[in-house]
Amino acid sequence: MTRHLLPVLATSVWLPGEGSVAAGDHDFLFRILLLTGGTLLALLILAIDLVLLQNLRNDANRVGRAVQPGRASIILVPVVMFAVVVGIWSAGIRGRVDAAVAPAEVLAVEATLADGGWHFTYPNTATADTLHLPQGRAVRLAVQSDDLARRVQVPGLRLSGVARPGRDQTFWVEPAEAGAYEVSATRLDGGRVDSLQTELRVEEPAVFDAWLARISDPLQMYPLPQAGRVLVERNGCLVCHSLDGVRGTGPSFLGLLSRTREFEGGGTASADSSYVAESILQPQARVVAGFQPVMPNFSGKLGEPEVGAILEFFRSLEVDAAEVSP
Amino acid sequence: MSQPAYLAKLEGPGDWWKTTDPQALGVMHLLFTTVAFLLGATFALLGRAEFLAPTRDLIARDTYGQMVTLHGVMLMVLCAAPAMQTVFGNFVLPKMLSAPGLAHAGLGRWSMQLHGWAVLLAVVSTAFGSVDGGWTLLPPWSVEAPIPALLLAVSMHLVALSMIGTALNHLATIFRHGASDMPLFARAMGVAGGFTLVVAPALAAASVLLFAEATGRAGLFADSMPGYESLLGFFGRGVVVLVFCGAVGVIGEVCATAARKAPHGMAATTIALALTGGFYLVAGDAGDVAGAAVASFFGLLAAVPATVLVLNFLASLQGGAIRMEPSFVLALVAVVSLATGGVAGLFLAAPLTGDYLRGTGFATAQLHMLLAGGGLSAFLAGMMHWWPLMAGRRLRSRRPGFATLLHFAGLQLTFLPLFVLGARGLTARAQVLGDGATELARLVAFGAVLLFAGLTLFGLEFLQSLLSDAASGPNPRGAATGEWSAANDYDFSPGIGSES
Repeated sequence: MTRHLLPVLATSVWLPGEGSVAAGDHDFLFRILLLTGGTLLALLILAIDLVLLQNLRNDANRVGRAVQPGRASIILVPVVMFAVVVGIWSAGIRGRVDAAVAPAEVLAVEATLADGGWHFTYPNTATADTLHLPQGRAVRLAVQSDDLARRVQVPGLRLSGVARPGRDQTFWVEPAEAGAYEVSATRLDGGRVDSLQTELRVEEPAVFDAWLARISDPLQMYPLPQAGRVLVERNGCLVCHSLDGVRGTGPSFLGLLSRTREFEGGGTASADSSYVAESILQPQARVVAGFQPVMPNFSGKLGEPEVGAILEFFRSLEVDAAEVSP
Repeated sequence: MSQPAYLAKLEGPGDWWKTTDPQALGVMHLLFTTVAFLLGATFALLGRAEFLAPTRDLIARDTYGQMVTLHGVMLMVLCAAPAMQTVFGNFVLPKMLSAPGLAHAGLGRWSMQLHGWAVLLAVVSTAFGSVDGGWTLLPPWSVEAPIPALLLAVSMHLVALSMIGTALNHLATIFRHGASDMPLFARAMGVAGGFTLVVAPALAAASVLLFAEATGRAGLFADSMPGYESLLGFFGRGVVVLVFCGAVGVIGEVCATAARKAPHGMAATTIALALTGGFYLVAGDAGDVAGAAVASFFGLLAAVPATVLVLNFLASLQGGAIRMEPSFVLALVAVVSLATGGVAGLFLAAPLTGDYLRGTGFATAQLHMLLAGGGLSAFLAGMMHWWPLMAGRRLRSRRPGFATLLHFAGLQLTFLPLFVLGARGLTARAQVLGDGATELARLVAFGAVLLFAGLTLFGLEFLQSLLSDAASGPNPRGAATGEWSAANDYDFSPGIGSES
């Protein structure tokens, strides 16, 4: 409501469109300052003009006379100015505190600046090179710099801050308007300015959720063996299993499919597709001799298509190995 | 009197270099300041040419960065920081107070020579390659070229020492010879002297850190060095305050002469000046939320004493018998520019808007409105005001009048669009602009050309006046302060206060 109090001062000349709730607060204060500052400057120029009109005497032999301005103006003007200053300060501080307090439920997005570009990681570990945010949902955006101090700006959301090595810049923001916005990170080393740019797309929640689901699903994002590899990486399998035949906490994935397995407590089986699928989804059912029963259960987390992709990835490992050592 | 008395004693360059005469010291400082200014301004003009083709790189990025860096170092450290006090302060202050010389003549010479060495080192450093890192010479980028970085570190240190020497000298002179009715300019120099003793040590300390880093052994900046940035950030605000003090003093004298009456409310103006500068100085970047809230408050609070300055300025003109002359018009340009910079300062000091605008072209525009708009205009006004005392020559009024017009138009065209570009998200010092910024950027480039055309005309006028034989007479415009008085038309005694 208050945002539309002063439509006279077209901030659209000055500022990009208001892309967030906080941008509204910012622009309200910006308008107040434009109005105050503009009035002050206009009054000053008017006063100078009036004084000149009254006192221009180009003839040679005149002298000026001292004038005592009214006491009222001497006291009143600074007092009014003080009130204006306190007003601006308190209006701004409220917005700044709002912008610094974390909302209860947030979508946490981590931004990393590396290899000359932006990389965004979403809570479900999905990654993207452009930033997508849902409209009307609170977001925590933490920006981690590369080895340079950079000024991070999203003008459309009125976000600006400095990310330094070892000191992230965190923003709380609630995007309000769907649309595309510029995102930049500019080096702070003074002269040599190079800026890492990317795009922010603020989308309606349904569109955003669909996008997030798509980039979160390796099966939709990558061809089969690669999707399996992404799944293996994302689920932390490589902590215990190697890809090069070296034995870790668990057996290596290389050469797994062709082997005959002996189990703790007796019994053997050929490691075919259905056996490997079983040991992913219910690893404690049959534990290979010589290994601890420590692998977590993935039955709720990975479905049949995912397991299929992982098997496809294991097969591709065999093919690659065969090509390297004929 | 075709030649001022102080010139008669000086024969060769050696006399100038060893002089303790405050007026000759002022002229020497003017020479050093001008060299730094011309270099810094040239780099700025070359950099702004980039804005003529905003969407592609006219100049290689590294070169652009180095030009911006040298522009900043030359103008902030070697020119703006010492200019007002060393040029006008030395030239005018002692005679204004009817003092027989600076309180410490030897210290005056020492400060002048240090400033000279500093400018020389900075000029020499450009021959050894170019530094990067912005005017604060931020490592590691600045020390990638270690030799120029070393030279510039020494240069900065010498400037800091020179500024401290000059400030001590002026304060001592004021304490010894000042009176309760001393002119506004002398009071402004007192305030500036006090601020110098606070801000110049920050430059001295930062330059030691830079020197240590440039020798390659310190490794002080391995994990970046926020302390270094803070020191120079503080010094940068200090430069604005020093220029502001000088400008207020000069504007006061120029307006008093044009209006043919004494400035109004000098005691209140002095206190308001000290408060404005002090509030601005402490309102720098702060670490945490509470500190930032306090800094914002003080930054905004500076507006309150500033209104007292404006009221007293208007009261100084009211009732006067004002003559329109180029120096007076320049002083008005300075007042309007300072007011514009001050209003823009409210945006930068306020929470929210300040958080968003800091580090953008808006902040660059504000700094330039204060320094290039307010400071430079006031400096030119002072030059025209005191020129008859410096050169004993007359200035004409038509060409400077036209130059003032160009100067004013150039200022507005160069910096007003930059406010808008910055608010739309243009990062400070950015070389390449986004779509839609092209037209405004062209205005900026065009404004810079006008600005330099105006400055060239001013320069021509001063040069031509030097070569002409149009003597000005002792006090052509009937100024009332002591430096013009025939009673003070004495030779400075050579040995006063000096150790020799």
